[in-house]
Amino acid sequence: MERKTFGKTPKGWGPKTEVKAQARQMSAEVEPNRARIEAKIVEIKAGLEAKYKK
Amino acid sequence: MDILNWIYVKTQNLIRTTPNNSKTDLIVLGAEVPFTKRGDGYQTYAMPLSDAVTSVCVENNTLKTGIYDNYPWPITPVMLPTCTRVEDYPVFPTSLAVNLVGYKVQGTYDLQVNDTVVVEYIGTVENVNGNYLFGLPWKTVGSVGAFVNVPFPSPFVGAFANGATIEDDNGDAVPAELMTIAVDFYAPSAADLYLVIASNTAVDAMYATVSFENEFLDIEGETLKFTIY
Repeated sequence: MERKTFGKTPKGWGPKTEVKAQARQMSAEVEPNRARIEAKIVEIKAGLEAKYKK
Repeated sequence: MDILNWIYVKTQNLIRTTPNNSKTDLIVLGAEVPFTKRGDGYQTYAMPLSDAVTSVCVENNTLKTGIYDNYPWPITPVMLPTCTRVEDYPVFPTSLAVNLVGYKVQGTYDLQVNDTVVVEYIGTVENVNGNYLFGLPWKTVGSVGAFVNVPFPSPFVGAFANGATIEDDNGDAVPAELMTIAVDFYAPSAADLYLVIASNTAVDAMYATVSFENEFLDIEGETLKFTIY
């Protein structure tokens, strides 16, 4: 059944600009942590592979 | 009648900060028991202090050992307070006694990796106020299930420790020579935790279900936060 919008976007639908702004901010905060973690995983793995990997 | 006893305790200065004997001293509790005819449904009963303290800490007590359950702890790591209480005299930054309390990070990791070295990020512990994290780790325990020629759900289970049995891609039982929780203090107030497993006898891959609890201590009153970034 076609939704009747009468030419206007119903309340609660459409792009949520505030949410997108929050998501961008969160992404910027999380990335340094992920970068640190990924680098540490590589570092620990390299050390272990030298000792354990055949 | 109970309220009259409370007035007596207060007027006679019988309020204490330490028990006379925690094995025999009783505390009074109220249980809602619907079969009673009283208006509020509550019935008074008593319990030794030591039993009362233990009863609310059973699920959250110091780390369990020797319980080789298949999935004893959650899949996604979580941090919980433990009942561990320790008084310690740190050399740094002061020589004053401090009260330490326990926390534990617990989780389960399904090991299905085409490698003989695994470094899996568990999560990050941070002191919300930016103060020093006192000590990580305190104790690590857990269980390991390896599915060697045994159909699920009957895995071989053993302790989380160096030498724990895992399975390689030949279906053979092999030891994980190294199995530990690595802690990286990337700042004085924060640390990343990693599950680290390595085998030099596995063929090319490792399979196992690894459950762990990693307990650590921090100064009482500090607020810690656990995040999986």
